[in-house]
Amino acid sequence: MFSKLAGFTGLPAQIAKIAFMAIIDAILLTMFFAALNKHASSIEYVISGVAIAANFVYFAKFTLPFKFLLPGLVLLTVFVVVPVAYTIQMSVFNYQTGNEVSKSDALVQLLNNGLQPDASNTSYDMVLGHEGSLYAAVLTSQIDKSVLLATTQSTVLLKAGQYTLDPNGVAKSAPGFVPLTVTEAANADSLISNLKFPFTHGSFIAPQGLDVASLLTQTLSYDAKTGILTNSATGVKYVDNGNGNFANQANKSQLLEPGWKSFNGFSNYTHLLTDPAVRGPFIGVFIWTTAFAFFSVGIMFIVGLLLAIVLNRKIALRRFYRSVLILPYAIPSFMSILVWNGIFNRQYGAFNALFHTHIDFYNSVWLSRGIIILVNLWLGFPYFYLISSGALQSIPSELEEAAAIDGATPQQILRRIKLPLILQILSPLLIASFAFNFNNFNIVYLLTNGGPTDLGKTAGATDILITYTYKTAFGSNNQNLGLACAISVVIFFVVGTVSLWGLRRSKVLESM
Amino acid sequence: MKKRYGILGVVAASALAASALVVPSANAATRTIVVWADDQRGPQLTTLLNGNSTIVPGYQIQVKFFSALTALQSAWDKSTAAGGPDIIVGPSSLGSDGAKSGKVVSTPYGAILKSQIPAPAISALTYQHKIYGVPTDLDTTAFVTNTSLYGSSAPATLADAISWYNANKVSKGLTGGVCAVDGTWGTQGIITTLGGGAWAIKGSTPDFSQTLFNSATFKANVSKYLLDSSGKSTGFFQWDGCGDAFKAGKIPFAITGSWNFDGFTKAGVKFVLSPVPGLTAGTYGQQWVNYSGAFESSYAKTHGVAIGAQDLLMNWFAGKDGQYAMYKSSQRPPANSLTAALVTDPLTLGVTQAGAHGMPQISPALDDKAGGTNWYDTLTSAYNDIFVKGKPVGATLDAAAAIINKNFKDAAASL
Repeated sequence: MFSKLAGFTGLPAQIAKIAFMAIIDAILLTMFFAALNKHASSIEYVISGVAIAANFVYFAKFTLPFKFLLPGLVLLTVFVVVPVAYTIQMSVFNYQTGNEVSKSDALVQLLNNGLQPDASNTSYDMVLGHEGSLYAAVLTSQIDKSVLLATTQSTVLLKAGQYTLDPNGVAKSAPGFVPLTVTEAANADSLISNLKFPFTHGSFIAPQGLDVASLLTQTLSYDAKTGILTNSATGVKYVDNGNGNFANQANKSQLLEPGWKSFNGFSNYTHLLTDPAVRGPFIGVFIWTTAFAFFSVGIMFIVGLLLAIVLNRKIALRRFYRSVLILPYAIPSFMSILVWNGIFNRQYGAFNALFHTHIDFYNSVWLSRGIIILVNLWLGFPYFYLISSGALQSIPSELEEAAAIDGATPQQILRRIKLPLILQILSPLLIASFAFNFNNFNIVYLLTNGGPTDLGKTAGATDILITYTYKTAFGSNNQNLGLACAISVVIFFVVGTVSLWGLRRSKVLESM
Repeated sequence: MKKRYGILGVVAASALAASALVVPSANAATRTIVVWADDQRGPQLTTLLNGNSTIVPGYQIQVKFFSALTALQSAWDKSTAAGGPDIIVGPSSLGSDGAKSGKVVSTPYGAILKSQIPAPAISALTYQHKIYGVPTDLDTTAFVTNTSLYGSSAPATLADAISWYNANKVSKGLTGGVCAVDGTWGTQGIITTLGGGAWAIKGSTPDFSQTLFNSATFKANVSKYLLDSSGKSTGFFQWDGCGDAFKAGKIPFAITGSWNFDGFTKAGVKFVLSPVPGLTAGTYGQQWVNYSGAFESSYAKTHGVAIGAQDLLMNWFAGKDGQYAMYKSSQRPPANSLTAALVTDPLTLGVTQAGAHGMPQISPALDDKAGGTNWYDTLTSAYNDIFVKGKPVGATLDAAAAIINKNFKDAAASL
């Protein structure tokens, strides 16, 4: 339709469309094979779906609305729906440090950890090659200089004269042995890393590089039928504990690491409410987050509205004031926050230097909360000034004039006419600001980093839910991503509920 | 006619798109060992290894380094087989954390290699009785004395340093006495000098059941040496963001490692190194001694370069020649005993000698937070309470020790 309107129709338009879709397909196909190379199956499915949908929509005749909707839908799905769905999914998993990989990957690592060198760390200088069709190695003991010829089926001790030594005393050749070239060895990396040359009593010699091998014993074995891991050295049996780890059958608190990501139902949510170590900070942080968002929006709105009312009148230097008031909004917020951070520094800050005081803003709970709200006001009031100005100017002057004729005072006009109208206009923006400040990570992280934090406490006095979530997920070497996802889901529902309630209260939805 | 355009379109678009197949198939032929490092070792590793295809014949080495250790750890935490490294270089905690997560594979040592690596280095990389990675260099601190401020040699005792600071604080405009440049980690030398510490040592084994952070001696010495008669900090002890003040000549002493010496020299600071002085001459504090390492990731196997990565690890990162090349580039004390014998640089030797008085750092114990916060954050809060907020020493140290004690007990169960 648009192409017809633009006068771009017929064969040239079809060729342009095919060329355009070819580029899109080429990009998607490249991404698909990149994902395939990296074994990222979920990404493969998404790309395949997008490619099929794009070709169907743009080459079919009856999908006109979707031609316009598809790009938006794809971006919405990829950048909003998928992350939200993944967060919800991970919130019901035991996903933390030590439980990050799949069960099969964890099992591979556990079996690898079960490889035990002997007491003397017996090792060999190794030359890799073939003997007949089998992989083989000429091995020179680093301890007693004995020489072995090992294949994947047997290992034999060579006698002097059966091998030749290089100047370093390392055997390089043996009867029937053909060494691998550098390229052959590199190309066979995956095979070599799995080679085991049998030795005595169940032990074996395994390459530990291109020219060294070690004598090892596999002390852990896995029985796929029973799902039991057994340590042959100690006899201890480990079973799946249902929470992402193999645990000692006789002592369930003794876990093997690594574990794996495991479905744990609503454990992360119940953990939020029942574990005192998590519940205490969570409730405190939740209350402060709500208060912070509420006060921030309230104060910013009041200041912005007052300035808008003042500057809505014809006063001297009005344009200058309007320009100056926009400045805090024009400076990147992270820079402003860092500057404010320096101003309130106890030792070197401008505030204490100017007033010859030694106030420790960042170690006082209420002062640090106060400066967070103050700095947030500095960053946010220009926005509220702008939207309030716009709202004020959109109110028909006839209303004010009619009220004045009826005898209303300016205060009554403001309170009874302008304010209700402004609130109706700005309600969605106030709700959006509340949601934004509920998740205002930057100001807390850059200004106080959540502090001050009491001894032994995870959450600081100025931590809001999003910074607490960040600390839980990434704040230390022991990360709990599943719990962080659960907190994120709670934030999602709180913000969503408050926004919906606010919108309904303001009757905006009905009037739309 | 129009219907044919639709079918023709799909066919044509698919044919053109098939050209994209060339890209992945070209990539599949290369065999590259990817090494990740932080900003401290990355630049040197880039110079020494990046693009090299002779150190591990048949493989090309690619080095990627990050702007800071935190950036490296963040990327490592989020890494998957899709984009993760084959080898990661950094502090020993990467080994224990990687062991927990399954991202690092254990490394059986051969007899020759084991004979070249000091026992403390092996224990620093051991987690749950398995060795992860190979040690690359000694990761510890020395006591740094600004000779322009204090005099040509280091103070004989910590008490001398404190007395000098108290006497010269006003006249020289000092903002502190000793600066632990790297935060709470570096304060261990001062804590142990004053009779505190993390855990007790029985023979050569850590005794996690005994926490020393609230010992009676330590409590008394904190009050005696670091606080004034009214219980407020004298300002001698600094641990938070004080590095610039040391460089500006406002703090006479610092505790840090070789990674900061270049910056001190560039700032015009003239300095000597020593172990952290004790309370009596000839005794010393015990700063943490750790080893950095190179670790093979579990991704190396997925990438089909496990053997090449092991070769690079054993022969270059842990070997005499590789460590010598890194020592010449970074001046860090090498871990391999054969290379350590070749060190001649006075600053490197100074750190090595200081390290001889240190105690092994057991990262999983310090990182554990079963008590609420880990050792580092607990000490930060305790220092803030005592030296900034002026809270009582005894109660604060007792509260901190209770947290640390829980951490250590929890860690001991999994070590």
